[in-house]
Amino acid sequence: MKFELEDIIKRDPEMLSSNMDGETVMMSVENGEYYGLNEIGTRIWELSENEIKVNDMIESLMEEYDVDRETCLADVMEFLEELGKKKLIVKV
Amino acid sequence: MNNRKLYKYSAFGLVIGSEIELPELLSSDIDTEIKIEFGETPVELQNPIKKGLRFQAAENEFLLHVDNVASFYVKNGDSITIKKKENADDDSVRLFLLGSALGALLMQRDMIPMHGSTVKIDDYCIVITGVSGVGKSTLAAQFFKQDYQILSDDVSAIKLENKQAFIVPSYPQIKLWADAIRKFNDNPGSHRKLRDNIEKFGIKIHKQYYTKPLPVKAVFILNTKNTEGIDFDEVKGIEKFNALRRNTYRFQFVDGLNKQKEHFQTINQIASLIKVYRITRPRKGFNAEELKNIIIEKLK
Repeated sequence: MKFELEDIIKRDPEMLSSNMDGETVMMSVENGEYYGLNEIGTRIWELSENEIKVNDMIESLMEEYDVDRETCLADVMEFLEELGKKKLIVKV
Repeated sequence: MNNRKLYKYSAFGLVIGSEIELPELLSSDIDTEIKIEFGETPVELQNPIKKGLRFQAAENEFLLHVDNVASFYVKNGDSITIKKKENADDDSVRLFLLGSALGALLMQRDMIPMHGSTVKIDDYCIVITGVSGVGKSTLAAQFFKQDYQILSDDVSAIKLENKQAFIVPSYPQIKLWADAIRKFNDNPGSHRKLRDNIEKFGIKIHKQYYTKPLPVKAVFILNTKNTEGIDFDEVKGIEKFNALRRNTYRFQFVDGLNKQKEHFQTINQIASLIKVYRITRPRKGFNAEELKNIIIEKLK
């Protein structure tokens, strides 16, 4: 699933998640599957608790991680694609 | 209703009335809350949520079929029904009863049964976990030999209470192979053989068995490598969660999605309260004394 800058996204509210030393462990209430997110993934997960525009997310992360737009864009899109594949993040 | 005798025991903080004799457990004489009985078990569960080759799980129900031994039906965290197969020996029945069946019961009662041994250190305890055969019991026996008290061997049940994680004592026995027993300058023949054709023995440890729950400070995962020397590191993050989950006794038996949710949360709470360490020993040359010393040193 490809995401665009103007897409509004939100995370799956049916995921149980827990922070563990800066990473996130998650469990799907629907199918009992487990997932793990590293630090960046954790931040993306946090930011998508409420609806957020992909572009706004990128701007936030750029500030937080002091990273250039190109890198941030590439990383975030890759992440969103993975999460999107598993329906952990959806377009609203 | 039947008139079969009930043997009463205390284990994992529970009082058990059992139709099958369980010499490993400590006797009790107060009111029972758990019943272990012989009887008919279902062939299948009505609405299984999880199904494996030999087991099925549903909300508060667990069914296990062990070829040539018995079927075990565990319900509501308070009853186990055993349907013994013809010609099954009691030793084998007890092995699966005190292992998988009891593990499922503990999970139905929201305890997390870790696969490992628990040692008392000062006013807390540690759990030594790892895959079968890596040396958990032998390491626990090393502590035992050096006068430490033991809360459990094989299954260590974690219970959350008042925002603390406790290990609940199980029963006063350490299971060791004959060669480990000899290394401790003891004679295997003076102990009870667990199963006829296997050189594993049940060592009674009543004199150093601690009977009260203790807060657990750390879990040590024992594993092996091909190189020399002992490695030691702390496990954090997702790996910590996975390590606790993987070393839970038969975690795949968790019955029903609601329980799975609760267990997920319980494991996370436990993870936030304790440290998890990995201690890796060389495959050749098991130096239990050295491992014990490293653990004690790290706990200071």
